[in-house]
Formats: sequence, structure tokens, C-alpha cells
Amino acid sequence: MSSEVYSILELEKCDTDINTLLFALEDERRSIRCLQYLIEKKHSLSNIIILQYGTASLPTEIETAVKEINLITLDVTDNPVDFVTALRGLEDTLWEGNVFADISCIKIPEMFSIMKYFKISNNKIKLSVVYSIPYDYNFSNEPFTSYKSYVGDLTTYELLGYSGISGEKENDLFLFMGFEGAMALKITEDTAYNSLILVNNSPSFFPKYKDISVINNYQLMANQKNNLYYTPADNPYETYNLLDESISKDNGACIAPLSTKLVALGACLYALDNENVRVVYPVSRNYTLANTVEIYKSFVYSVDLSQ
Amino acid sequence: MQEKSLMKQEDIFSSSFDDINANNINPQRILSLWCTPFEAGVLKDLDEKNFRTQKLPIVLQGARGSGKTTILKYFSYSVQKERAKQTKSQSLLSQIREEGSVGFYFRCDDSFVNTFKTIFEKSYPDNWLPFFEHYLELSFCKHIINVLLDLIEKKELSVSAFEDDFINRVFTSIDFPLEIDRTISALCAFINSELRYIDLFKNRAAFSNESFSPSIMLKLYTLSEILIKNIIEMIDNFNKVIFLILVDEFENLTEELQQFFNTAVKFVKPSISLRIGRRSEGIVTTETINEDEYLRKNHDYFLYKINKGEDFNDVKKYFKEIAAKRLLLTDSISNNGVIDMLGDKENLDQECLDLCKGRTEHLRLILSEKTSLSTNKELQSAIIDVIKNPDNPIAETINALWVIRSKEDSMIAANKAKDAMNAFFGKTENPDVKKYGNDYNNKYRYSITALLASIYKKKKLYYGFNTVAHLADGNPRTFINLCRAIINDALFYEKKKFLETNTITNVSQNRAISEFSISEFDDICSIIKYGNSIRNLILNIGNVFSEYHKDKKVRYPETNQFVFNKLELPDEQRNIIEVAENWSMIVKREKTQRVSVSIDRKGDIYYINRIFSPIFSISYRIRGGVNVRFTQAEISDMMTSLTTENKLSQQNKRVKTPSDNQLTLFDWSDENEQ
Repeated sequence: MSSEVYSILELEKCDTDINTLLFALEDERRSIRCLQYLIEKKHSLSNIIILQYGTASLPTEIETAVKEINLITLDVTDNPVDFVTALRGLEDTLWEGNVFADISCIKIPEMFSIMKYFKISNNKIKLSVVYSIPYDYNFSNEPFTSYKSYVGDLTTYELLGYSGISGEKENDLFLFMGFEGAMALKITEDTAYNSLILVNNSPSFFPKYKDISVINNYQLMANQKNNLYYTPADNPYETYNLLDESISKDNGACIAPLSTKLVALGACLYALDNENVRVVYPVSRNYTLANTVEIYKSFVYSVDLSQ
Repeated sequence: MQEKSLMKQEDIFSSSFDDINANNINPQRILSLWCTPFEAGVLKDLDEKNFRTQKLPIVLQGARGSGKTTILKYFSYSVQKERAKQTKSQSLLSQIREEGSVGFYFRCDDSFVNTFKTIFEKSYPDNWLPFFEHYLELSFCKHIINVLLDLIEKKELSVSAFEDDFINRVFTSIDFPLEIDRTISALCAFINSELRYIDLFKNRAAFSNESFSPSIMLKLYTLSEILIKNIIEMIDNFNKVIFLILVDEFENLTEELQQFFNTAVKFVKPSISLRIGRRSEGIVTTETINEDEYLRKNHDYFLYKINKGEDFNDVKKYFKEIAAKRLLLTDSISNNGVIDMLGDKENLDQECLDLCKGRTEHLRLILSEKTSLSTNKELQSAIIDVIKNPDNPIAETINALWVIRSKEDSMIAANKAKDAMNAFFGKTENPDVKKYGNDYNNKYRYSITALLASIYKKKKLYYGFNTVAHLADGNPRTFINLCRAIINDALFYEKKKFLETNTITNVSQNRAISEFSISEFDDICSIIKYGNSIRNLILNIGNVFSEYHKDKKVRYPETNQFVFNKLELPDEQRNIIEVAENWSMIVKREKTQRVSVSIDRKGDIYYINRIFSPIFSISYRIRGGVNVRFTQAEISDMMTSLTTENKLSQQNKRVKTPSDNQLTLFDWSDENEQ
């Protein structure tokens, strides 16, 4: 994926008609940001697919505005196979024309499943990924170490469809660092690897975020004398390029996408093109509600799955 | 030029302790860092040869970081190849013959197993195990054939003399697809393609209508046993060789997979055996896939526990060797190794001198504990004048303790204490000199240092090889981690001195040890199941011990063990305790013992992992005597929130303080614990 095929557009500059919008409904304003915009600007929109993690509901005015639109709800359960089965049960016509997937509040395992589903079942899909960058994250206490997105215990999973191909020896682990050191520790504890490569974001959404990431992954970084890479927080294409340049095609790799959703998207696209890449992620049964505060900007990224 | 050489030394030095987790260490490195745990007593009753060649399966049980993975990997084929390379006169074939075994390492990766189960259960509900068995058998066969291919490549095995006959024997035993060429490399390619097929199926099955249709479906040992039988029959050097399946992290397996492996353990095949690495017993099943058959220790398998009940001197010897191996990787470290670098034992006298700096507040505070002295400042001052010894704060503090414990007049007691002290140091006759010597040399030294640190609002320092070995509690990974943390701290804070002298100050050591202790505690709590409950429990228990260490009467020196009845706990709390034990957050002592000095009943005694001692400024030594008892309700409360019980005051109601003339349980000289 070279820089020539970059396509990053502010949502406000997007004027295409859309057949289907897919997003997750959460208690965060950004979860419905794209839908709200499409309604306000009277874009043509035929279908809406809502991923329902909890009990959040559409605001009344939105509900009224989408009354004429085909609305489908997918309940997300603990079993990833059930989610994929539900996706596969949807009508193929939903994926004709332009499809927008707003990943702002879709969790990483489901985002990876959706992309894999499109890649296998309909790789000619005209897919655009929407992401609303939060204005800030919810730090319950001081703004450096108090961020926590999950409640309870973590379990490491290979993401469904991203098990890689077993080789003769262990691969390198590319760990994209996020705000939660525990998640990174969980991955390094549970995963066998050859070398550990840590990746931080630069530029991050805001300058302080890359430092928060450093603080929360300090122990891991302290033990890491080299192999520290950077990738922009808001550019999945650059994450793809970083992985493409760093991973030998013959060896494969293991990736833990703990950073931003857009970085995870880049990793996902890379893993879709390279089946010998394994993706691991720590999953919890419960998550905290509303992890972000307000919205900075929303961007649309076009994704070509046909390669 | 000098700067360049310093940089080089620093790089090598700091990297020599960086390899912590055997999961991520390559075979060559495993070999170069290997220190045998067998001869050091860490794995007593078992020798290397026995481990390699014992027909009955062996289960290695040990905590996280105890060295299970290193041991299993050391006996794996990939490290065996490295051994053959290093022994230049030795061919791979003769290395295998000499060692009498070939081992293949399998790590039970729970994320792999979970996904495997999820995928195959979708298509074949309640019957996914045969697919795992097929995958395992293919993997085992792949390893076996790779040995042959290596031997052929090295020209230690003649293809022309061996291949046709071998392949014919194998192909007549199993119905392979007709299109496979009758060569070893074609067989290898076939197995690889079958494994790849499963991997790809795993990646795609949930997203497509693809059904699982492999070219062949194998049960465990259906092909491997034939391969092994023919290798043994056809290659002389393999006559007495057994093939080992080395299964690591067994506890990660689902219960049905554990049952599957237990069945494999119970019914081992000729020339095949298993070596299993696992954590504690509480989390594994002994059931097999047959409902009425269970694994029986010493009948179906041997169980060896790593680091259990070993002599502390053996552990220190083992750690010294580990450090020496790693320090040898640099040119400019003195041959004396880790003891030269860290010092041997703590200098508690000097530590107390540094804490007190000639002050006498500690004496006044201790004397105030005696009712008759508590308000009489003048008498306190007079007594302090008698008992003080500014050059030896431990001695003068013992004097103060003797005064408050005596039923005699305080001034008479002070003079008696002073006379005993003078006789002890002057090596003269005195009826109390033996008791004084025991109090000074053994019973109270550590407790008084901890108490003085608390009185002068400082932290007890942790430094020296002996301390590091104690804190590591027999765990090599903790030991290596501590060394790494100390070296990194020294390279940052006192680099010039460190590189010039190869020694590290107590301050630097203490800082590194304390920081590691906290980060290890936080890290483990953040990733384990029931992490918050275990965090609360350990903080609460640690605080209780901390309270004991601050007792100005020093009634229960170095109390750091606790007892509770696990059977009284509800299921969930028992599970929490299991996880805490499994991760060595708390450690159950190997043998049941008398639960406390005042209680004539035996039971399980626990302590919190000694590496966490610095968090609470408590002793890392196990001295016996009083153990703190917790009820089920207290354990439950301590798991829920930070509500530390005032156990010291409860203890005082239960246990009568030993009179000052009576020998107590602490009056033995415990050389091993020093």
C-alpha cells in the first residue's frame, strides 16, 4: 500500500450517497457522529446496521429521522463465531454501493471480524471506514495512569480469522502500545515470540498521548533496549507500510494492536494481505462505558480489500 | 577510546541479564545460559540422565519463573542440535545416542487452544478433540521427520541405504493419499501441507462454508509410533533412544485437553514418553478420557517439584552459578562474580548506625512502653545513660528491651543488661552472656533494624547477594530480574563507579530492589484473574506483618507467616487463593507444621512471596514462632477492600509474651536463614 492510494477525507467533505452504514451504538457521542452527520446533510442512506454491545439506544430525534431506513441490529455476544455467523446471515444487497463502517465504537475483535468477512465474502466492496477522533479520553483520576477501558480480568485471544500460519520458530511480536500497560503485559506474558518490537504513536492524536503511552508501558520499555518504532495515530496506511517494511514475507509475525483504532485498522489490513500474520488481543467480559470525551474530528478512510 | 570501551562494556553488561523469559530465548542462548538445576539440589532426587531417559512420564511442577520452560527447552531437539554443534568431535547422531533421547517441545498456548476449540466446536459441537489430536500428531510427526532430514543433510544418514526401506515400511502401515512421492522429503512436505491446511481452515472457517476435509485424519501415535519404531529398528544409534513429548504450560489447557494428555500419560507407547511442565496442582485435573481412570503419582508418572524444600545454601550456589554464567559474557567483570558486585550479607550494624546517627529517641520510645517508665522522663534519661552504646544501636536497643521486659527494678535491669553486653563484647564471664549473644547475633538483629527504620521514618534497606537470594525465594527468574534491575540502576545512577569497581552501592541496590518489588506486584496483579482481590489480600496481609515489625516491644520478631483454613472458604474465595498460589503471590510451605507457637495443632502455613517484602519493610526470612491466624471472615474482608485488621493487639490477648529468662522458639541459631 503506497502513499499514492491514501484516501483520507474529513467527514464534512464527504458527499457520496451511502447504501449501508454500520456502527456500534455506545454511550459515547461519537458513536452516532457519522449517522448524525449523514442525516443532517440529507445524504441518501438505505440501510443501517447497529452493533449492540450493551443497552444504549438511539436518541429520539435520530430514531425519528431514520424511521424510513432499513434498520438492522446485531447483538454482540462473547462468542466471536456467533457474531460472524450473524454478519454472514445478512442480505448481500446490503454491501452493494457505498458502505460506511464507523469503527469509532466498534471493539477491536469485531472490527477485525468485519474486515475479514468483507475480504472473504465480498472483496470488491466499496468500503469506507469512518473514525471520530475523541477530543479527550476519560481519565477518572489523574491524566496519566488512570485510564481503564475494561472491568475485571483479561484473557488473551487470537482474533478470529487471524491465527497466522505455524512456522518452525517463533515470530517477532509487534506490540502497538496503548494507554493500558496491563494489556501489554498480558500479551507479553501469554505470547511466545522471537523479538519484541514496541510501537508508539508519533504524531499521536495529541502530543501528551504518546507520553501517556510511555508512562503506562514504562516497565516494558525499560526492558527494551532497542526495537522501538513509531507510527502516526491517525493513519492506518502508514501502519500498514511500517509493518510491510518491517516484516519479512517468509517469516510472518505476531501483532498486538493495543493502540488507536486506526492503527489497529492498519494492522488489520496488513494481516488480511498476509495470512501468516497472527493477531492477538486481550479481551475482557466487561468494559467501562464512555471512554472518551467529545469529538475532535471525524475522518473517512477508503479501504481497498481487493488486493 | 576509553569512552568507546565503556560503552561496549555497558552494552554487554546490561544485556547479560536481559534474557528473562525462556519462552523468548533461542536454542543457542538457552544452551549458553544453562546452569543445571539437577546437581544444585533445586531438583533433588532427579538427575539429568534420568530426566532424559526415564520411560515413565515426568511432571515438573513449579511456580512461574522457576525454570520449567528452560529445563524442557534444554532437553528439546533444537537445543540438542546446538549441543552437538558445540561438541565439535560429536556428530548429531552420536549426540542423540549418547543422550538416549530426542525431545520435542510443545507450548500450550491458551489463545491458540481457545481459537482452535471455538472454530472446530462450531462445526463439530462436543467433538472437537479429534481435530486437536490430529493437529498434535501431525506436529509430532513433523518434528520426527525433521530429525531424519537433518541427519540426511549432515550426511550422517545415507539416503540410499535407508530411505526406500523406511518409506515402504511407513507407507504399508498407513493409507496415505496415492499422489505422495515415496520419499522422506515428500512425506515431510505432505505433513507440512496438512498442518498448513488446518491453519488456513482455522483462519477461514468461520467466514465461509468450508468444511474440514483433510487428506488424512490421524489419532495420536498412529503415524508417530510407526515412524519411531522403524527409526529405532533401522538406525543403530537409535537403539536405546526414547522420544519425548515436552509439554509446557499444561495448566493452560482446557479440562478436556488435560484429560486427553492424562490419557496419553497413562498409556505411553514403547519408546515414547512425556515430560510435562505445569504450575501448582490445584488447577489441573488427574482425570483421563475414561471416566473411571485417574492418573496415579509414582504409578503412571513421577512428580518433581522445583525449588521445594531445598537447602538455602544449595539455592545460593545455584544462583551464584546463574549469575556467573551471565557475568562471564562480559570481559571485564572480576571472577568473583555476583558476591563481589553486590556484597554478601547485609551489614545491619552499619545500617542501624546510619539510622540512629547517635540519637536516642528509639531508646526513649521503647522504654516508654513500660508502664513504670512511660511518664518518668528523668528515670528514662538515667536508664539511657546506663544502657546506651551509640557505637552499637542494636546492642543498646536490646538493652532497652531487657529493661522493659524485666520484672525487676528498671535501673537494676538496666545495669544487668549493660553488664551482659560488656561481658559479651569483652568476652568475659557473665550468667546472661549466652542469652545476650543469642539476642544480639540471631534473635533480634533484623527486627531491631526494621524497628529503628520505622522509628526514624526510613525504609529498611535491601541489598547484598544473600538478601537477593532470599527475596528470589528459589525462583531463578526473580533472581535474574533482580540482578538486571540492580545493574540497570547502577548503570544509570553510579555508572562511573560501577564500571571502575564492579561494585554497586547498597543505596542503588535497595532502590532497584524496592522498585522491582513494587512493579512486579503491580504487574502480576494487573494481569491475573482475580487481580484486584489478590492485590487487596496481599496488601492487607503485608500491612499486618508491617504492624508486627513496628512493635516497639519486639514481641514477635520477623513475623511474616500466616495461617487460615482453606477448606472453610467459599468456592470463589478458594479459587482466588488457588490463583494467588498458582502465581506464587502467596506460597504454601511444603510441609504442614504447627500453626503457631501457642497452638498445638498442625496445618498449612503460608507466606506472601518474599519478593514483596520490601513493599512492607518486613523480613524476608522465615523464622518460625508466631504465625498470624486469619478467620474465613477476615480473609473475605481482606480480599474485598483495604481494611487491615489490627492483628497485633489480638495476638497479645492470645499469646503470653515469653518471659525474659525463658528460651523461646526464636532462641535457636538458624544458620541457614542468615
